[in-house]
Amino acid sequence: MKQLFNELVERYRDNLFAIAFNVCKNTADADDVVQDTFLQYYLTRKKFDNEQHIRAWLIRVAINKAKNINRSFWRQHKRPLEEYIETLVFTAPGDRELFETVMELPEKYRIVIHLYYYEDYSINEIAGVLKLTESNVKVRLLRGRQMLKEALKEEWENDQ
Amino acid sequence: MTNKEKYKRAFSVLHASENHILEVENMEKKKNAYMKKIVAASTAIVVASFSVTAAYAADVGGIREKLTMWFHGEETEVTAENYGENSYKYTFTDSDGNPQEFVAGGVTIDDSGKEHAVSAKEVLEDLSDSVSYTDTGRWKLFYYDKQQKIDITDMIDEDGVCRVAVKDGKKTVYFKIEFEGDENTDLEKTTEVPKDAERYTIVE
Repeated sequence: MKQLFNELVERYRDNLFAIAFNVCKNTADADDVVQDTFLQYYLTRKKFDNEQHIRAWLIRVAINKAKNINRSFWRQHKRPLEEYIETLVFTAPGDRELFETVMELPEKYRIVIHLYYYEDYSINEIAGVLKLTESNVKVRLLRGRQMLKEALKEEWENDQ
Repeated sequence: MTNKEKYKRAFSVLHASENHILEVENMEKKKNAYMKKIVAASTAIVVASFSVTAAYAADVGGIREKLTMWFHGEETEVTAENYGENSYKYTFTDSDGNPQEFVAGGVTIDDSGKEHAVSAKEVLEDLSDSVSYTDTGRWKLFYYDKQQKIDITDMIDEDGVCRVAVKDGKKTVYFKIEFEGDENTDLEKTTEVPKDAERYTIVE
């Protein structure tokens, strides 16, 4: 159990951080989300079918916690996104523009885009994680892509 | 390079902080702290309730009202207290046994434009219309006045919006529900005929 837990932490901590950051736009809040999500996993008595089930649950919990932070009146961490982006070291030209463009998308498109392009989830799987219909997910993905294409021009291919 | 490869490379700069230690041993410590936090939160709620009651008692005699509301389709006992101008503080215990509280209030505006404070019960009735996601994977609208559960899953359009008009005797109540994902919904309710009334699905 201990080994499994530590392995899960190692395997998914950055993924959870990325999705939490995607929602909160803030590293301190995203770190809190990662920690709280793993704590909730540690405390839960829920039975999981397999590791993919655990992964989907962790991502779902992280998104919910991140959204709760965004809604919280008591939100404390307010470091500007632009300031944080300045500290990041992007490895290739265009990466920063892509990163910034995604972060400017409305939240509902941003989350779907991230689950599709970063987590490699299918439309059906995203619908399951977010509890949306497949057609809702398709529309959000389509509109998110259109916005990216409009902003990034030839740097973003036309996906099907 | 594909979009997915570009996206992953751009977002690979994000890493969780090393300062947050997440080993099992620390989870045990955090678990204990978490339990203490729950106890502390409960205490804080009681203290807050007392202070609110004391302030209110000075004004109008410290009335606390016992009410019932429908919370996610379950009848739940709630205590309401005055919480300042046109608002009330509600406390209740959810189905998992956790103490919950929220503050809500509002006014109605009559034909002459004059505002009238609504009662704690009226506020609650308005809040008791709710949308919930069931274990069977269906979205249900709970319409408080008729104690009616309506399956709205197939009424959600491509933009994630559901428009449903419920016939209730002589009146029709229009609900517009926006789905934001993760069970988050924004519910608007009105008896005034909306401009896009033709887009509403009528339910008897």
